Formats: sequence, C-alpha cells, structure tokens
Amino acid sequence: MKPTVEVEKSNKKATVERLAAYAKKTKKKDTKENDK
Amino acid sequence: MNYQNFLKDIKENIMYYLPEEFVGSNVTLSQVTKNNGLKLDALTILKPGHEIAPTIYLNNFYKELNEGKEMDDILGEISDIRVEHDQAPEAAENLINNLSTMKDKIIFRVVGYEANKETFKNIPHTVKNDMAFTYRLVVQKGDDGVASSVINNDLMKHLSLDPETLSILAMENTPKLFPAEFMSMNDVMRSMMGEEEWEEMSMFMDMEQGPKLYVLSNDSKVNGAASLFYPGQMDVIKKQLNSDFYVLPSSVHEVIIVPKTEEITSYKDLETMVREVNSTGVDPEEVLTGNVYFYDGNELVLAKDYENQIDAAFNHSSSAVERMIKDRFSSLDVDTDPGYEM
Repeated sequence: MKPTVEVEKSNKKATVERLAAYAKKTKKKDTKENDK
Repeated sequence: MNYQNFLKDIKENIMYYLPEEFVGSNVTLSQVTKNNGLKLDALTILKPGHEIAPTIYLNNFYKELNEGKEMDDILGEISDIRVEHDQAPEAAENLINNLSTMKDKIIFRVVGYEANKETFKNIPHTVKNDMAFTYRLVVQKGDDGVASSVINNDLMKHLSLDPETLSILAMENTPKLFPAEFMSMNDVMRSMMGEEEWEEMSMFMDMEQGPKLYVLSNDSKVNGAASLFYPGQMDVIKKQLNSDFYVLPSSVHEVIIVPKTEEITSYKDLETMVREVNSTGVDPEEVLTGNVYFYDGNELVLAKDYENQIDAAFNHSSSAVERMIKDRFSSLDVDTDPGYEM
C-alpha cells in the first residue's frame, strides 16, 4: 500500500489577519459603548 | 500574474531550484479535495526510480505572491519544503508496515461535520457536536511544515484498526506530538506580527480594551483547533481563567476563547462576529464552523443550546412561582385584583 503524504505549513500572515479581524470587531464594539 | 500562469511558472521552473539529486524528476500538478470540499492545487516532484512523493499545496504561495513576495523566494521555499520532506513517503510506507511504531504516530484533527459529510463516506471519523474528528499518521514534523497521511477506510483496514481504537490512540498521541499553546490574543499577535507592526496596529485600537480574548492552538499552528479536545484541556483553561467560557471557531488552526463575563449577555453577538469573519477573513478551506460553543465545566455544548436550556429553566421556575402565588392566594380566598383605577 502506498499512502499519500501531504505537507502542510502554517501561514503566519493568514493567522494574524484572522485574529486581527476578531480584535477589530471586539475593540470597535467596545469603543462605541464607551462613546455612549 | 494570473493564477494559471503562476502554476505554469512553478511547474516549469522548480527544477532550477532543486539540488542535483532531483535531476530527471517528474513534476506534476493535480487537484486534491481538502477540508470543506475545497479543491487545492498540488505539486508533486517524483524523483527517478521512486514511486511516491510528498504533495505540496500551492494556493497559499499565490496569495503570498500577491502580497508582494518575490517569485524567486517562493520557488526557493517550495524547493526547501520538497528537500526537507524527501524521505517522508518512504517513511510513511515503513510506518504503516510497522505496527508498534505506527501506533505512536496516529493523531486527530477537527473539522466541520456538515461541510465534510461527503468525504466521511471513505474516512473513519468521530462526530462531536457539529464537528468531527478525523485521523492521520504523522510522518515528519519540521521547520518547513508537517508531513502526514490521512487514515482512510483502506488504510484503517490495512492497519487492522477500528474507529474506536484510532480515537483512543489519537487522544493519547496528539497532545504529545503537538502540545497545546494557550495565550492571550495580544501576546499571540505581538509575537507573530513583530514589534513594529504591533505598535502600528495599537495606534488604531486600544488592545487592552474590551473583552479579553485568548487563543488556543498547538505548537506548529497547523490544525491546532484540535487541541481544545485534548483530555483535560478545557478544565485547565477554566481553572486558569477562573470562569466558564465561550469558544469561537476561528479556523481549523486555532480557536478563540472568551471568558463569560457580564459584558457578554448573549452568544448571538459572538456568533454574528464568527460568521462575518468566516465570510470575509478566513480561507474557505480553513473554516471550522459558524457556531459558538460554551463550556461550563461539564461538556462543550453549542452556546445556543446552553442559552435555550437556561431560558427554559428560567421560564419553568417563573411559572412554578406564579402557580405557587396563585394557589396561595386562592386558598386564602383573597381578591388578588389590586383594584387600581386609572
């Protein structure tokens, strides 16, 4: 039997972008609340 | 450069970047169905006299090209990956024929159930809420990525294993091979971005403000969402935070942990946020699910189920109190109408 071997690498930039998207949404919301 | 020309360029030029031992290799491009049914473009460089070669996915490299990375650097990196994992296919072959070694290399990953339902026909899996665990054999873990083979029904049969045994072995091995990493989101971003970019971002938002967010992944940052299900992991987090918590499925590579505080009155805002980020900021093949989860020390549940249970319990107790008051007053034969006149 010949298994298929895949190589996967982390994508640092994509990870940072995902986390930044969450940070932006939570911080934005909080700023609005503070502005009230 | 358009994507098709990029693929053509890689195929035509990769040989110039590989060492001499690769002369005469057969370079091929193919499409492979990956997470959530997405088809990715895969490169294989088969050395003369060999029957198998590691598969390298190219889609992310095209993104890097569009972000300004030089084609020369991309070809160099692909060459490094191919060289580092040169022995991986043979190692995989040896692994599946050596039962005692193989058993220590079985790991699990977590993916969304619904979006992968079709592929589960051929793959042993364990359903968990709206997610599923799949199993893999790790062949090599290095600086240039993780080389592994999916355990499909044929391989499971070849290994004389069943889904239950796979699950037991994977739960034991995965935390050892891919230790969990749990950090505040600020610390993760700061370490990944570097000081300069972090300072720049901090100018636009107060990173200390708002609900405190944490990131849970593994040491390789590849398929790290699975670390949430490591034995005892959720209890460790609950103890560390001293709080129940919500889990946001940021991607198959990591989850975001949000402690339950008074600031968060319902899971609905969190769910809206997950769905928005999934549709705009996550590659489709890296999406985990669009639901929010909740952990209160018992088991991980969908946050909507948890809140529905709380509401039902509240309504039940409210009607019980109402009934009790009514019974009490009716037995006293008191007119409960306050008799206010407008």
